[in-house]
Amino acid sequence: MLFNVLKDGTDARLSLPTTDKGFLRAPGVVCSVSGGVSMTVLPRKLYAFYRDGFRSMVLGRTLWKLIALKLFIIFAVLKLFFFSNFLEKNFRTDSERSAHVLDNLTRTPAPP
Amino acid sequence: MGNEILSTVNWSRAQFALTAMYHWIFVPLTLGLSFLIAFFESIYVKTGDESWKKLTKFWMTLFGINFAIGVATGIIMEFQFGTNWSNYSWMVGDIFGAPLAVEGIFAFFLEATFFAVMFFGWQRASKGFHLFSTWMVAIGSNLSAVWILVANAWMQTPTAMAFNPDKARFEMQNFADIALSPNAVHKFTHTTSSAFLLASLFVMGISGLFMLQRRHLLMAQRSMVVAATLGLVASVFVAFNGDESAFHIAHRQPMKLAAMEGLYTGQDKAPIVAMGVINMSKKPGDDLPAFYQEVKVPGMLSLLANRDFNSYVPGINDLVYGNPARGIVGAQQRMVTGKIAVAELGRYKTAKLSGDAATAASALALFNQNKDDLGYGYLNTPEEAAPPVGLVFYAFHIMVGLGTLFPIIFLAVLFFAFKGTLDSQRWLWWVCFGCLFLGYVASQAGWVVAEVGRQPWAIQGLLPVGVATTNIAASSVQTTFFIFLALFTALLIAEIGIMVKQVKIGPEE
Repeated sequence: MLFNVLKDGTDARLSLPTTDKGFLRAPGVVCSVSGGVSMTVLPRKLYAFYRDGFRSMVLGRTLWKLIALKLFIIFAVLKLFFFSNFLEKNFRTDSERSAHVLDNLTRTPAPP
Repeated sequence: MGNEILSTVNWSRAQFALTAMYHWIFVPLTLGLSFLIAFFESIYVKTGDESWKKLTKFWMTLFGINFAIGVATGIIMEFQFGTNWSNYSWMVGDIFGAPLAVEGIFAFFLEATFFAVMFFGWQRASKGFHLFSTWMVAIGSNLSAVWILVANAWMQTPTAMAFNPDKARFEMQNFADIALSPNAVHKFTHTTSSAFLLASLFVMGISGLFMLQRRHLLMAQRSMVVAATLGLVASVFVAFNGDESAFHIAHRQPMKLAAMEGLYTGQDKAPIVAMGVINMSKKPGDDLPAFYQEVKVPGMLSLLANRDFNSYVPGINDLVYGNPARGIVGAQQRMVTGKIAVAELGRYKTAKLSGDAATAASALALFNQNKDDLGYGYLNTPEEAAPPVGLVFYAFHIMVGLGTLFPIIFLAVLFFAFKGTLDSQRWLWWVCFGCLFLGYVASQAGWVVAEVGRQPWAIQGLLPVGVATTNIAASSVQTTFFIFLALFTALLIAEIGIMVKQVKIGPEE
C-alpha cells in the first residue's frame, strides 16, 4: 500500500521511505539522499501516531478505562478464581485427561 | 446424585446461554455497522462533502462504543468450555482449536492495525488510506466471525472427523471440509446478512429519533436512506440463505425443523404454521393436540424442506419412535445401537488397560459398527431426543415474522425518500425507532432456534449435553452465573448510557 511522502513531520502523514526518484525503498535500506526518509525513522513515526492518537482521545479514554476494568475482572478475577480449566488443573498429562473423559463416556449416563 | 448432575447440566446451559446472548447483543452491530460506516465514508470520499464526513464520524463513534463494550465478552465462553464443559472441550479440542485460534489472531492483528488508522488517522492519513482502513475493519470483523461459526456449524452437523477411542477425541480429517461444509457456509452468510439488517435498523432507529426531535435532519435522512438500502439488500440475502439453512436443517437436523413448526405427526404436503398457539403440555407420543389455534399454509413445509410440495416431512413422533413405512429410524432404535456403542467403548477401554488385545480388537470393531449413534446411547428415554418444542417454535416464528416486517419498513423509507416526503412521515420515524429494538429481538430469536433446537445435543447425535459437562458442583456454576449476570448487566447499562449520551450530543457541528 502506497503512502504519501512525509516532508517535515508537521503535516503528519504515514510514509514509507522513497528514493529521490520516488520509488519505494526496500525495507532495511537507509536512504541518505535528500528528499527521502530514513527507514529507521518509521518505527518512531508509528509510535508517534499511536501516542498522539491515544493522547487526543476524549470519549476513548472512558472506553479504554472500561475495557481495562473489564479485562481485569475477566482475566485477573474470573479466570483465576472461578474458571480454572478443569482438566488442566486436575490431571497432569494428556493420557490422564483422556482416561478421565473416557471414564465419563463409559459410565452410567446422566440425564440431559 | 442424579438431581445434582441434572442441576449442574441445567445451570451450565443457562450460564452459556446467558453469556452467548449478551455477547450477541454487541457482535451483530459491530459486524453490520462497520460496513455502513464504510459506505458512508465512501460517499464522503466520492463527493468531498464534509457533512458526510461528520455523519461518518458520528456513526463511527457509536461503533467504537459498541465495540469497546463488547470486547472480550466472547472469551468468557471459552473459559466455560474448560470449566463447565470439560468433557466436551476435550473431545472437540482438535476440531475447535484451530478455528478459535485463527479467529483470535485474525481479529487482533487485522482489526487492531486498521482500527487505529480508522480512529486516529482522520488528520494523519490520506483520504484513500483512511477509507481503505475503514473497509478493512469491516471486512476483517466479518471474516473473523467465520471461524466461530465454522465451529458452531460442526457441532450441529459433525463432519470430516474420526473418533479416536484411545484419546477420547474427535480428530479432524479434513479442515477444508469442515470450514466449507454447507452448514458453515449457510451459518456465515445468514449470520452476517442478519447483522447487516440489525445495523441498518439501528441506524434507522437513531435517525428516526433525530427526526422526531427535529435535530440533524439532513444527517438523519441521509443515514436512513443508506441504511434502508443496505437493509433491503440484506433482507433479500437473509431470506435466501435462511431458506437454504432450513433446507439443510430438514436433512441434517430433522428434529429441529419439526420443533420449529411444532410438527409432531409427519405428513405429506406438510403445512407451514404461519402463526399459532402451541400446546406447551404436549409431549411426544401423547394424544394431546399440538396447537390450540393455528393458521396453516398447506404444502409449504414440504416445499421448504424438500423442494417438493407433495413430499413427506417427518414429525417429532416419527423421529422419536421411528416410522418403518417411511424408512425413518427413530431415537428409540438408535438408543439400542447407541448403547451397544457405549458398552463396547467401555469394553475396549477395559481390555486396553488389562492388555487384552483380542478383546480390545473385537470391542473396537463392534464400537465402529455402532458409533454413529453413540450419543443416543446416553439417553434414558427416546423422548429426550426432542428439544423444547414451544421455545423453538415461538423463537422461529418471531424471527421469521420480524424478518418479514423489516423489508417492508426499508421499502417504506426508500419510497418516501424517493418521493421527497421522508421528512414529513412522522409515523414512519416512530416505526423506525421501534424497529431498532425489534431487530435485536429477531437476532436473539435466531440463535435460540439454532441452539435450543439442537438440544439435547452438544454434538448432534454423538454427545448429549448431559455427558458433555464437567462433574462439578451445581453451586459453583450458580455462583458464576450470577456473577456474569451482574457483570454483563452492568456493561450493558454502561453501553446504553454512553450511547444515549453520545446520541444526545449528536454529530460534531
